[in-house]
Amino acid sequence: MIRFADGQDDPKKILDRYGSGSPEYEFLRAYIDSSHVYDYSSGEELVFEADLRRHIIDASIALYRSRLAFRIFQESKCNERYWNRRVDGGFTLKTGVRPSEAIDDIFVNTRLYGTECATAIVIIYYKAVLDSYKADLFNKAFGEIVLMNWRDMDDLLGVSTYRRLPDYVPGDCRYVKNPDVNPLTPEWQGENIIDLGSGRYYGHGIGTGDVEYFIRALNQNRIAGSQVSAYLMDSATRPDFHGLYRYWKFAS
Amino acid sequence: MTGMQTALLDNIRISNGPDSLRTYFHELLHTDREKLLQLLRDGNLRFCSLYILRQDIASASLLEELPPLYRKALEITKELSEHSAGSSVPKASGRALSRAFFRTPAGIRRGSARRSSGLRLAQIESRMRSETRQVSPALEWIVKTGWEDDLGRAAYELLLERCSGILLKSFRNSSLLAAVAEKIFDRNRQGKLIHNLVWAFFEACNPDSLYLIAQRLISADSKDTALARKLLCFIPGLEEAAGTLAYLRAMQWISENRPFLCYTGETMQMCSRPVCYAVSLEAKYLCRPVSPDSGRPLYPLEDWEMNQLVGFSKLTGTEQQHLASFSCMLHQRDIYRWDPWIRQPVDKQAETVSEITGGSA
Repeated sequence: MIRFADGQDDPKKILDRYGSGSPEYEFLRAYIDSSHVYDYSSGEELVFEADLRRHIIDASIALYRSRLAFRIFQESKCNERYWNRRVDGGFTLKTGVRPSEAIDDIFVNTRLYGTECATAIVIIYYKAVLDSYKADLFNKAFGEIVLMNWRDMDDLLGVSTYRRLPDYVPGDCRYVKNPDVNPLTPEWQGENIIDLGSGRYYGHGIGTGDVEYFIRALNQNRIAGSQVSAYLMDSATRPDFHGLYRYWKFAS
Repeated sequence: MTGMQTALLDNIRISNGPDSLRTYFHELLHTDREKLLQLLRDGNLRFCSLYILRQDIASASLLEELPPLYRKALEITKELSEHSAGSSVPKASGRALSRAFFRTPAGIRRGSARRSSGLRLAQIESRMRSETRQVSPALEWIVKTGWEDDLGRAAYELLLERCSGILLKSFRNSSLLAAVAEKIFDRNRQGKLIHNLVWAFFEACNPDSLYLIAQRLISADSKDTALARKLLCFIPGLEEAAGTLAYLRAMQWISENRPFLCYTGETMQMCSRPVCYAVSLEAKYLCRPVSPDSGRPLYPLEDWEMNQLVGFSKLTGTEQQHLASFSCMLHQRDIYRWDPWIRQPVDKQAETVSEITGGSA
């Protein structure tokens, strides 16, 4: 169930704003029907999270459609007009560049970029927050951006991994683990996938599909004779929706 | 290697660089072939020199003259270098990019080059496992001596990562852990990529590897301590401690829980603070060691132990932690008191713990 600290809003009225097939509806329905209690300061905060989750999904689909190349970190590439490439394969924002333009460029000049799946998720998070915050606030909030796997992310994003959650909802980043991966192809050790809603997911370098689709892809890259299948882990990675909302509310 | 004499060819490479080494090789090839062979057979030779000379050795038909260990190392090098991930990633041209989009060594929709490369790598790994006796010593030599040198070439580092991966994951060779730990921290200090090496390091499924990381908590280099703290983030109380206190806490926790630790499979690819090992509370409660790989007891449980676990499973997570910690402590301090205690009903055990510790075992 959803509980508001201000006691003002009715979660079901917020639910009614969204179409029944939409990811926002699926997210709100799951939280309203859950036996777990989800606390929000207000309806505004809940709507902010629903919208940000939607932006995560939209950014995932945009990245999928723009055909961002998969490259291992040793061979990652970026548009050097906006980004510097580090020796570890990560990208750092160039001095004097507007962060919002640099993030948008990944979705415009996508052919100039190539990276691994975890960095793709980090790009998606930044793009989703940009779409929620809009350029001015985003540029104020994120003066320095590093795009790497899960390293060096801005504290404001507050990305954390939660284990054994009561509910998994659209906009979550899940992980499909491949325990018997061939050690010569560690890039197939697992896949970060974004929950797009309606049982579909996006994973960079593999595409979109249901969980089985990703499991099959990873299973094809195990050691010979393996009987241990890839599987969806009981965990989800999420940005700090509460923290991002507070910043948005008090800084804008 | 530390404490060993440096081979002349290594000396030339280290002092004057790879080009000088190759020049010296060609000079000797034409002037004193016997001496060249003698130098190539030096038991102290390091892999890096052989790697630099690999094409010259092949061109001069000297491969068969090398000791079997070095010959095997070069065979492995050839195989793993021919099928690098890099060689299969298309360059930035229009048609090629559509292939690069999908990551498909054995994959989903596109990229026949990558598919065949991935399948070939699977065959190589499989064959290496079937020839462990011949392959393992060569891989060990490559990794142990190869990581000592920084050639600054991506292909060389990828090769060493792959060799480390096979030894640690496929062969579960724990003798390399110290060398790989050294390399992880070394590369981290230089800002280089470490996540594949960290992954291979933990895939060895050896909880003793945690000691190697904990040692870096008292390093003078802040990058070492930061990485060590990150990799050991699952140890309770580590965040609030620093320096020697953090080190002591980590060492105590690892020692106490070592027999009950299970590898979770979480990696830096999955999240920023992976919980690589978790304590099996059931195992700690019964003081029964588990396999770090599967989490299952090393020896079958007896019926009374299974019954105890039924009661134990009904407790809350916090209660389980308290009871398991108390049981482990009592087992270590006084096994004669522990033996009758562990057979008591679980609720009575919980009462005892509460009385003795005031509810905070």
